[in-house]
Amino acid sequence: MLRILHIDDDPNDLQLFEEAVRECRLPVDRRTAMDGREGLEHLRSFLQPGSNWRPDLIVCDLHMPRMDGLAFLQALKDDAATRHIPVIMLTSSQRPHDIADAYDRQVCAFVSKPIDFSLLCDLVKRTFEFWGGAAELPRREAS
Amino acid sequence: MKDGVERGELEAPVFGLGPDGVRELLEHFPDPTLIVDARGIIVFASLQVERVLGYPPDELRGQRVDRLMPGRFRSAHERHVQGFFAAPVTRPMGPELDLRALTRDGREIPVEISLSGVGSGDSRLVVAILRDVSSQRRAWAEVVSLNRELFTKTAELETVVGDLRVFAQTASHDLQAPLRQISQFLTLLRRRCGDSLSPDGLTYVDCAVQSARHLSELVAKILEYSRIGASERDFAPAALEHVLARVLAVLRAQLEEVSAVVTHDPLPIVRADAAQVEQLLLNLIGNAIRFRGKEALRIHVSAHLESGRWTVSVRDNGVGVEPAHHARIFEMFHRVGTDDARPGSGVGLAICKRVIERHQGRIWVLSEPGLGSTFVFTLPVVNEAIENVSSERDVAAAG
Repeated sequence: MLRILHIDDDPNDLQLFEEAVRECRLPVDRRTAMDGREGLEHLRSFLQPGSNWRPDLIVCDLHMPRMDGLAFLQALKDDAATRHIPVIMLTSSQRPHDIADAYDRQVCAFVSKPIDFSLLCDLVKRTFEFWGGAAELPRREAS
Repeated sequence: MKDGVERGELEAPVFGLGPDGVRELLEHFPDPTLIVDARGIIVFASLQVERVLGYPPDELRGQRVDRLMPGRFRSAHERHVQGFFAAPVTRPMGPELDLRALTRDGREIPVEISLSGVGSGDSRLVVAILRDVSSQRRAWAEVVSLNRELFTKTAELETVVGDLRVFAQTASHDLQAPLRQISQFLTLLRRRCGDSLSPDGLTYVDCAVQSARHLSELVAKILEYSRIGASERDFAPAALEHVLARVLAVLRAQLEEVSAVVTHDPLPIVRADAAQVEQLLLNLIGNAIRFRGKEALRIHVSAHLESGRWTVSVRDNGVGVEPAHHARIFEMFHRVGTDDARPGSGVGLAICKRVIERHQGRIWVLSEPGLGSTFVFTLPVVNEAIENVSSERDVAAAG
């Protein structure tokens, strides 16, 4: 089971991601937040003692109200309790500046939202295979 | 000052002229001429003084010269006269000042005045030559005003262009998300609810997906176009052969699919934004694939140095372009014909043009229908001084 915190202000994109997970029949346990600030709030509560859910991976949009993806990433990496969590930025931006900024803040991958649903399914599947299979993640036991 | 007239006397004969001849000579100077003595009294006024200031010459003789200037200049003038006699060198009067002369009917006109001292002691005289500069001042004021207007307009234009770029980026970015979602939800509809759709219904869904994709590509192209900035910051030496190799790698599958053969001569290193030149070649070779003819596609890239710039040609054996379209194909959204079998956004060549213009170059096409097309563009050399010398040497060698 791969636990994903998915942060995106666009409910359609949240749903499409969910549909792709369903389509691929992947054992993914997913929680969502609508912007960076809500994402951080969720994270804090997940990290409380007694919480039985911690994300293995965060999938985060870039352009969001209140707190955008870069500010979220910065806050996450500034906090010793959360900086180990891998983050994938899934966004419609392809601006070189955004890409550079995200990697400067130690994003694991900057990925463009695919145009086709089948491409989205491929992406979700490969993400699961890599982060839920090939990659060793810290604190897997802390659930 | 060497050319100053420190000493001199108004003596006859001058050039064989008697005193009347000298007077006549002065009368006929094209600019109004006054001679003033050490006390500031006018001893001579030429005929031109009347034309410009309205005073008959006789009326001024014996008058103080300061009656010819507006009141506000008079006290300062007194000091300047003393100053001039202390060092009577030929010079323009107050070159930094906006000098004014007072006409007989009380108007002020802008003038330039040249001064010259002659004679010595109490018989020293000052020759003042006036020039009415009203029309120059008017022209200058107009230039200044036009310049200011131009400056304002340029600033406004820059703002508008900047706003438009932001608008295009924002609009195309914000359009992208819903378009992508339309296409994806339609795909989901087909996958999950396909069974309850009639064959016609499935076709409609496919058409809608295709349209959404097409629109999405178009929007992506507009975004790409709007991103081509005007800064030279990214200009650096770029090996065209490497750029071409990257483009061919990206297009490899498409080129193989149509069994295309791409060849090139030795290509130069240019001073350019490599990413943009890559985009340009990607669009040109992509077009060659789309507009290929019945024969197997052949593309050849070559370059030569001309007038201190590299001229690069991309030649294909495709369907060619009607001469009537040669200029218009570089316009935004211009598409040749309505042949849906050749998909395209109509933005690709506009992007090419913008890239080349950003490099202060030119792009054009040489083509006839059925005879293929050669797209030609110019790019800056890496080092103008060196390349120009070698260019001249090449020409000399060729000659």
